[in-house]
Amino acid sequence: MATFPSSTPLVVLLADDDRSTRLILRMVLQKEGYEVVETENGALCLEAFMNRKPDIVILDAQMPVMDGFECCKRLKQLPFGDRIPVIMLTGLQTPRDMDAAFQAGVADFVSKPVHPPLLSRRLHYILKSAQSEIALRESEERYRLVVDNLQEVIFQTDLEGRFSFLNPAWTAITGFAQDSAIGQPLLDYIYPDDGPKLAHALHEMALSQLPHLRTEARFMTADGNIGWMDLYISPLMSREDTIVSMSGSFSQITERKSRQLLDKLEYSVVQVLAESMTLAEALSNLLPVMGQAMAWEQGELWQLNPVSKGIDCVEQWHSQVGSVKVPEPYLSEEEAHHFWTHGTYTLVANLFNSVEGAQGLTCALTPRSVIVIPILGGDACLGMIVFVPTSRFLGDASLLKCLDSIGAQLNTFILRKLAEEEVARYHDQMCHELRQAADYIRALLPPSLSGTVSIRHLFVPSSDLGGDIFDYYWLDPDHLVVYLVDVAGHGVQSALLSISILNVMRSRSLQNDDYYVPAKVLQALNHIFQMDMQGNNYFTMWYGVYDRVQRTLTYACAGHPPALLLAANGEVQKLSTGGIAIGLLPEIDYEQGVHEIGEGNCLYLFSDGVYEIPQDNGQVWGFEAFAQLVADEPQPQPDQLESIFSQISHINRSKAFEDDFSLIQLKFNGEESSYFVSTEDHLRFEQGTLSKARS
Amino acid sequence: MHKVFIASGLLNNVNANALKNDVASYVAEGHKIVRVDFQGVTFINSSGIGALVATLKIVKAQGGEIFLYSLNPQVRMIFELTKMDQVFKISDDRAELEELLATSA
Repeated sequence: MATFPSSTPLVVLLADDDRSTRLILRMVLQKEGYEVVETENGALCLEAFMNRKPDIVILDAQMPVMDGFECCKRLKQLPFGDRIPVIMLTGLQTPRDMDAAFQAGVADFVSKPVHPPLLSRRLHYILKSAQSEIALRESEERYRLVVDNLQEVIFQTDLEGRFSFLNPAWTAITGFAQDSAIGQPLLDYIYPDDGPKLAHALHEMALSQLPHLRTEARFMTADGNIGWMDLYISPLMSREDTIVSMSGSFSQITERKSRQLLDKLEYSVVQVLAESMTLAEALSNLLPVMGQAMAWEQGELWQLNPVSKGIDCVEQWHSQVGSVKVPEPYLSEEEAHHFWTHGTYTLVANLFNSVEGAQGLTCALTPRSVIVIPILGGDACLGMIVFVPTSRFLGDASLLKCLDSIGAQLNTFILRKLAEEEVARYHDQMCHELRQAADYIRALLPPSLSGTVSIRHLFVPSSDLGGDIFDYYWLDPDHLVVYLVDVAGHGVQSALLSISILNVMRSRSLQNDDYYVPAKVLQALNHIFQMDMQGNNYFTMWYGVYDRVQRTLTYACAGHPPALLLAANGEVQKLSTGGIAIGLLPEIDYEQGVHEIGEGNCLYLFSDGVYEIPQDNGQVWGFEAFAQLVADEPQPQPDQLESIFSQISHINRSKAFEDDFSLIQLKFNGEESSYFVSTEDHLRFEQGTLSKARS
Repeated sequence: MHKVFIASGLLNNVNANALKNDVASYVAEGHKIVRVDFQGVTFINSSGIGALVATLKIVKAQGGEIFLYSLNPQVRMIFELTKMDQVFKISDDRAELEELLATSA
């Protein structure tokens, strides 16, 4: 029985010139389940072999036209011929015949006359071994195909780590021929800096009998570049549990590693630039950050010396971290001195002109390569950052591109810092001027008064000056004038206008020259000061004249918030007249009001800065709220103004005020009893005059 | 429908001057009545008032009138304190303004 795993019967090709032998053999073989193809000689047998692709061939040794020996020899030359076993039928088995038959490729002999059971067993045995040989060969071929086409390097080494096997991926990845690497140690191909670490790890693996080792390491390629590998190695153990060899694999991760590295480098540079306040700080932080990110050996910062026109090394950095080999200086002190101290500005300029952004640059005086990143602020060369890479320069294009981008970022940073410094200088100057102006305005303000009328004030200028100014003085022994001006807008310009108003008032140079009549004063000022078309340079004003003898207050108001008059009983009057701010429109007729002043009355004069306080809800605190606060204050107390200020400051959440805070308090003291009026009379009187003033 | 100028937010020298320029080119085309919707105005500072008065001058110089309406209470308070309500024609809302314009025409 042909008991092979085959759905179709196995084919036996039979060549014998003796018809009766063919007949017998066919009967025997067909009974065993074979399909039999008969031919009469060797030549016909070859033809049939081509057509039928038999599984086994039986040849008679002696045949006409072509005998069995010749036929076997030729058959082995045919496609697949070497895989098909041949049995030879012979009458005589002389040693010479057998030798010739084996040389021709015969697998076995069967003597004539044929003993059928014997033939059957032989056939069976030969076919079986032929089949398993084919299976083995096929599996080997499949395996080789897999190994040869792997993207991963598969290798085997001896105990000393010398390669005994490598697949073609080795050449694809490293560029070195397989043959040249066989017999060479794996460590010879590892990047020098990573070699000792890997050797140590392998030693550890053997010593601690670890099942395997997995690590990342750099390797050298035939064209002088450096790649990254993800390496896996495991020991092959003998029965006695000793390591006989090592096998392993590695894949190329260069692209991923270098991208990771450059991302990290760029990120750390961006971070340094973002966190540095000054260029000097940024540059000195860049050295260690870039050096560590790239595992470079040494870094130096060279800056242009404007005096000598040379460049000086202002800062150095060395890698010290776990460095296996001692870093050697890339320039001896003497060489560095020669190279850089005598390097003129021209040399540096040439260097900058010759490189676009960053570039690997080989120093004339050293075999080592260095990386130079020029420090440019716009078109100006400010210096350079020099790095010495470890062992050898990693001159790949992506690194140079990354360094280019770092150089560009540095350039942007420098320009930004220069601009910021300019703005800061300008701002400092502005602040200084504003402080000076504020000090000047404060110096212009009148001192406190006491006597018949005691006057105190509290003036807190906003940081950018709000344009408030005020004054009070006795026009003559019986008449006190008090006024407060608030110029629109902020800054020095507003302050200048407020000062010029004060000057006009103090020099008494108004045409109308009647400082006793408030409405006329406002009208005269409106005649002088007219705003520009931008809507700037106008001002609000409250002006009052107190007649000590009549105990009256005559006042006029130009778009200014009302003054508050507090009676001794706590009642509050708002003193205001019609009329818009001075300078807005020409030919405004200002009104004026008169108010009786009782003993102990208190007048508060202020600018809108005391109540225009922004609140969290988007509303403004407001005039009414301020009036209420003043009315609710217990009267009198010596530090009334400070108390009011501290409450408003609290409402303003203790921030700096957005506008000038000007608050004047006038206390009208009783001096002559004949002018004393009772509270009730006083109230009635007051309401009367107020309605008169309003009408 | 007549053109309406819409003022909004904090009226300072920047946006009030922008409004002034818009109004100036409007009256330069021969329009006499300028309507400004103040509904969206939350606050007006001194520079805003100055620019608004400059606008008023431009309109008056062309023989026109400027009308403001729908001022919120806070802004109306500022107008009262600064007496600006004496120089600007202010209506409660658009309907009141149109009624006023219709009767005066």
